[in-house]
Amino acid sequence: MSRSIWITGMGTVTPFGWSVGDTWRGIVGNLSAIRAFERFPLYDVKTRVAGTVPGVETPVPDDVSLPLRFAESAVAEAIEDAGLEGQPVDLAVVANHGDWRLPQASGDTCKIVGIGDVARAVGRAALAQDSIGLYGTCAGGALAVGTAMRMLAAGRAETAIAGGSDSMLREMAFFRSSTFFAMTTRDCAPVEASCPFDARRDGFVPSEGAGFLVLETETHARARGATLRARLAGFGCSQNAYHFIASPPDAVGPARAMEAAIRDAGLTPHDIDYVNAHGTSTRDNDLCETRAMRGVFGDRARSVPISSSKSQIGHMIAGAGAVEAIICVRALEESILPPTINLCELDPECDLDYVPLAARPGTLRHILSNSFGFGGYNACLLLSKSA
Amino acid sequence: MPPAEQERVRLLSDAIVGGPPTAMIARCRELVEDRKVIRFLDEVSAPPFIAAVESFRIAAAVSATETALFTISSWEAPPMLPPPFDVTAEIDVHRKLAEHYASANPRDALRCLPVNPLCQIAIALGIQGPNAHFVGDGDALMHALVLAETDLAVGAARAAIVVAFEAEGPDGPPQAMAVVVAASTNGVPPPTVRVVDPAAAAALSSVQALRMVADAARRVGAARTEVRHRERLIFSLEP
Repeated sequence: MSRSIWITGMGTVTPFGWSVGDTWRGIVGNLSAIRAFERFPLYDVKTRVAGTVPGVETPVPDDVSLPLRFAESAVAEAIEDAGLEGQPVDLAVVANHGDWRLPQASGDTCKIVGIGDVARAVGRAALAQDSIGLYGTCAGGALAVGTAMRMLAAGRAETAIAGGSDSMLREMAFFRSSTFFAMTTRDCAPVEASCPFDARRDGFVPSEGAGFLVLETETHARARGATLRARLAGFGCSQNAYHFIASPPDAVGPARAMEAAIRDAGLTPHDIDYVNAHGTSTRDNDLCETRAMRGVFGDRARSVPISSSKSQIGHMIAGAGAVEAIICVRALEESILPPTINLCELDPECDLDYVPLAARPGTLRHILSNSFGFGGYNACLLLSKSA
Repeated sequence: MPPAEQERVRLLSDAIVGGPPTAMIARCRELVEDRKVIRFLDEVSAPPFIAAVESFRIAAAVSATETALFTISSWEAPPMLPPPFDVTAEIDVHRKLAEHYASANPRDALRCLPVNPLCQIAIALGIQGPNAHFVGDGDALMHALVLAETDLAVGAARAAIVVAFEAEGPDGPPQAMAVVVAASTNGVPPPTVRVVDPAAAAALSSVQALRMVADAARRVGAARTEVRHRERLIFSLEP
C-alpha cells in the first residue's frame, strides 16, 4: 500500500472553455463564467443563471449528450498532456449522472446515455482495459479520482484515467433539480449569483463540464519519463448518515473525510497550506464546511486559506470534484491561491480566510480539495507539490 | 464461518432478499421506525435496504461509524417512465415538464436517484465510513469488492457492507443481496478477490456475482479458490 501515486496529465471542459489553460486563466483572472441562462425557455422556474460551456449549439439536439461530449474532450486533453496518446491505460473511473430527456412517446426510453455508457466511452477513448461507472452526486468527480488512487495504490493497476462529467443544463435535469430548492433564485447580476460564504448566498449556480486526470504509479511514470505534475497523496471518504440533502449541523461527516485524507497522506492538519472548498453558495453547505474547518484545524482554522472555485464556474456536479482537483494542481505549480469572488458581505458565522475577491500568491506544498454531495457523500483529495 | 489461519478478509454475514414490493415495504417498517427513512423506501430501494440491515445485524459486533458501504446496481433510475402527461399531444411538452416538477414532491425525484438505497441504509444504520455507488453488473460488483478490501487494508474502515441490487430479479420482482466483510485480525490484509475476466463478470448480474463470491468465501481455505461461470474463470479468492 506504499505505492506513490502521481498526476501526469489533466484535461477540462468548463464554462471558461475547452482546456485546462482556459479554465486556469479565468480562475486567476478573478473572472466569473456565470451568465443569464438562455439555452431553453425556463417558464416559471426562478433560477435564471448558469455556467454554460462556450460553443455548445442552441438548441442542443435531442440525441446529443453533453456529458459524453465534454468527457471525450477532457479525456483527449488529459491523455495528450500525459504523453500517452495511442497507449492503453489500465483503468477508467468515471462519475456522471447519465443524460436524460423527456420520452418522445409512450414506451419510449428517456435515456440519451447512461452512466455506464459514459464510463465505457471514456474507457474506449483512453484505450482502458477496464472501466468503472460511479454515481457520486456532487462529490462524484473526487470520488472517482480517489477510487482510482486506491486501485493503483493497492497494485490493481499502474495507470488510470479518472474524473467526472456532467450537465445540469438540459430540460430534464434542470427542471428536476429545481424541485430540490438548492439552486439560487437571487435577483442579481448573473456574474454575482454564485457567492459562497457571503451573507447574500441563497443556492448554487448550476453549470456543466468535465475534468479528468491521468494517474500513474511513481515507478511507471518515472520509467517512461513522464512529467510528475503533483502527487495525489491522500484520499478520505465518509458518509453523513444524516439526511439526503441537508448538511449535518455538527459537520462531523465532512470533518471525518478531511481528517481521513490528511491521515492517509501521512500528514497532520498543520501541514495543510490551502483548502479548495466544496463551497456551493448554499446557506447550509457553506456554514457546515466552515464548521468542519474549525473542527479539523482548531485554533489554526482562521489562518488556513480556503476558497471556492464554484464562485467563478458554478457547480458542475459530477465534474466539480475533478475540475477542482485540477485547479489545485495548477495552484501548486504556480504558487497561487485561487479566489472566492463575490465575497462582499461577510456572514458573521463564516469567519475564515476565504481568499476574497482576488487570487493571491502563496507558498503551497499540500492542498486539500473538498467535495460533499447529496446522499451524504464526503470525498476529500490531498494533493502535494512535485519536488 | 470459522476464519482460516491465513484468511485476510472475513465474510461475517450475508443476506439475500426478494419478493413482492408490498411485502418488502412491510418488512422495512418492521426493521426501522424512522419516518425520514421509511418515506424514501420504494419497491427498488426496499430489498437492498432489508438485505443490508439484516446482514449488518447478523454481523453484530461491527461499529457502524467505522464501516464502509458500497452499493452496486445496473439500475439507472429513469426520472420518469411513463411520462406523467401526454407527450404526443400538440402541447409545449417542456412547459408541461417544468409545471410537473414545480408541483412535484422533491422526495419523488430524490427516490429516483441511484444513491437512494445507500443513503437510507447509512441513515438507518449510522454508517459513516467510505461509501460509493457503482453502476453496472457483475464487473461493477467485483470493483466494489476490491475497493472494500482496499479500504480495509489501508485502515479506512474496519468492516464493509457490500450490497448488490437489481430493479428486476430473475423472477420479476426486485432482488438484493448484501454481505458484510471485515479485515482479518492478523494485520496482513492484502486483497483476496482477483478479477480474472471482467467481461465474463459483466455477463452476470451484480446479485448473481455477489452470491458466487459469498459461496466461494465460505469454501476458501489455504488454497486458491477459482470461480467459473460457463467455463470462464471469472475471479479467484486467494488466501
